[in-house]
Amino acid sequence: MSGAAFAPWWAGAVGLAAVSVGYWVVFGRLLGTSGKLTAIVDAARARLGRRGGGADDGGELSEAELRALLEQATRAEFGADAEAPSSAPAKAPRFERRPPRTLDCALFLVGIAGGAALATALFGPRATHTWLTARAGDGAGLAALLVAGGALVGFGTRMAGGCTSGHGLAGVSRLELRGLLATASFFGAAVLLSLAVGRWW
Amino acid sequence: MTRALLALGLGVAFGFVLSAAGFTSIDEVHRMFTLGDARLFLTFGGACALLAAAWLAAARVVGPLWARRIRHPGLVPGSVVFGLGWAVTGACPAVIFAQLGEGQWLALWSLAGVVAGNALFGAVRARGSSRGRRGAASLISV
Repeated sequence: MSGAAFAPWWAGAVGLAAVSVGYWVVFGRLLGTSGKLTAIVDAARARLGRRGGGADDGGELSEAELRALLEQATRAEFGADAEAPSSAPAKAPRFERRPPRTLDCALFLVGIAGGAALATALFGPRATHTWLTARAGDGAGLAALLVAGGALVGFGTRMAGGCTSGHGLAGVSRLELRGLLATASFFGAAVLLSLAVGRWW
Repeated sequence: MTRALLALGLGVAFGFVLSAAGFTSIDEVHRMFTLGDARLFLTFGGACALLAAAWLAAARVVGPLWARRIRHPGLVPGSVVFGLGWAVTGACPAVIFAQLGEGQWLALWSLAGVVAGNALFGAVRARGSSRGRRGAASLISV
């Protein structure tokens, strides 16, 4: 009934690490999922014309992207052989492959669903959610709980600028305080709430 | 075209691993959060350790891989909010799509919530920055 049916921890670890390295090889940046949702949500919002085409996107550029844009503008202004601006940091990243476009982001998310469908076809359906349905039923109560919880996930990951992949896998493996702080915060909050629910509900 | 196909293929691999490892099982995730089963913690931690070794090895060969990222004021409060939501839904953003692929249709509700929450923060932040207050607005997405 417990974890025996799923892949052993080391196999899952190798799989997650392999996907992250593959993503870095292709796109030159670290794998993050919530950022893809943000890209799609903002593209949809811009298309709806609410906010004048996402005029606040500047806040979401990474240092490397900003630098690439500046260099691109410099070349456009002064010709292709213009030197990089002298104000560029000395330790510029060696690899600057292009980040994924919105279409790539959407296809990545569709691919996740496809991969999970493939695993289910191979191993059979093993995922269960009796913990939730035992408490909230399977009607309107469950829907309300999931929408509310999902809203916390969506709001929180965008506010934090990353989720389990971007801050967790990518941030922790970079051994940066930023990723460690975020990961300790979301795992800590989830553990505390889950233990509290088990004790009082 | 190639990049689009590579994105799709990487997504397939990611979804396959998430499903095979059991990250899509809300009961399994709940067992992790109640500290009843360490397997998913070990999966996550093992992946981090492997990746850290991979980045260190790659940096030794080709030099610095990336610029340092900036910590921003939304980092910890946003992560706490996310953690509470993860405990309730049993799903982080990538897992929702994997759950849908498995035919766990209750994840449609989680997806609706995530999209709404993401858009809400975008709207709140746009209002904040138009008043000249950057605050959490200066965050850098991953």
